[in-house]
Amino acid sequence: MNMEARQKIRTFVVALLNQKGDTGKVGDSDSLLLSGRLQSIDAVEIAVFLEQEFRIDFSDIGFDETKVDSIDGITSLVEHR
Amino acid sequence: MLDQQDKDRNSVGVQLGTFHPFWGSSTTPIPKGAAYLRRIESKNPIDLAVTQLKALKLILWAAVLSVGYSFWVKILHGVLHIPTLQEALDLSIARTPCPWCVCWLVIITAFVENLLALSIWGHKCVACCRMAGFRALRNTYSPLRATTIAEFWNRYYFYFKELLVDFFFYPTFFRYFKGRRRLRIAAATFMAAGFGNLFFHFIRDIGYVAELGLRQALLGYHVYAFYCLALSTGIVASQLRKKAHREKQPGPWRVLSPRFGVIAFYCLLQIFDDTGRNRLITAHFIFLLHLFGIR
Repeated sequence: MNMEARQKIRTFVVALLNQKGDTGKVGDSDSLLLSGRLQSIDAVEIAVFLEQEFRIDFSDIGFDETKVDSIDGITSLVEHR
Repeated sequence: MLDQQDKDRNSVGVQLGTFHPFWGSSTTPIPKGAAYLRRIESKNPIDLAVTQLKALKLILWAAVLSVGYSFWVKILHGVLHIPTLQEALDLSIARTPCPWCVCWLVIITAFVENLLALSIWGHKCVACCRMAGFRALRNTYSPLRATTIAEFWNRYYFYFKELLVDFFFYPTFFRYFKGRRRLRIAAATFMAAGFGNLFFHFIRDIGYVAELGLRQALLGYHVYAFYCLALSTGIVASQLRKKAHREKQPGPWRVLSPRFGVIAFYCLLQIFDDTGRNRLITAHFIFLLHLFGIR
């Protein structure tokens, strides 16, 4: 389950970066938002993806950009939902 | 305020310090608050050295822009006597408007000056912040590369946009219209770029209430209210349009045309970017129509 979730998240993040013309490598712990590779509106895209794919409700837990700043962070959020 | 939610938050004294950091700031915190600073602080000597080199590079770029800005102002206003946007608006109100071609020059000049001034100020703040060891992102980052209205706003004044996103966009987006994606984005954007922007500047210029009284301060604010409405409408349209056309990658021949459209939008929009309370919106519309040879 963890590997499957991580792979889904990775595929989504890479696609998001590619849409912005960022074709560079992305490690699981690499910063996405604090580094400026993704912006707030992309964080929203990630949140919508998590809502739809993993049924996470951010109105319950609150949305914190730092928790979706890396693939590791997003995976951890999914695991502890 | 947001830092209060952080479980590893700093003391109140340190948090208060981030309201007026030594690297300079305004009512818009650069770069955000204490919690954000903890996250972007250099973690080791190599990181620190890289950050400080980036600071040097940025301060040099700010110096180059400052020299360019001084020449620009001296030549256009001192030698060629092109009025500022405010002067041109006042001339228009006095029924002695500049010729329409000069008015175009006025708005293009004002747009460039505004960009340069904000870039120089932001670069100086961020460079000093980086020199202190914080890996802060630039406040203004290649705004002329923006191909959408939303992207320009992000590139033009990053930390103000972040402020509005944190306090208005996210709370609206994650609470309302969950099943309706387009409406959700539209509502959150109107709350941030429209209402949030309006509210922020009203509170920033609260002195007008003491000076003019609450009623007049509110009534006189209608020009900026229109500005916020037009800005948020433009951003919403650009976000929704971007989503609809995401699959179509523009070819090289289509690169310049969206950029030109974005610049034209912001050039015209700045006519209404007036937080003062001394002009009616009709004066701004008359100036806008004059640009197209009407009136």
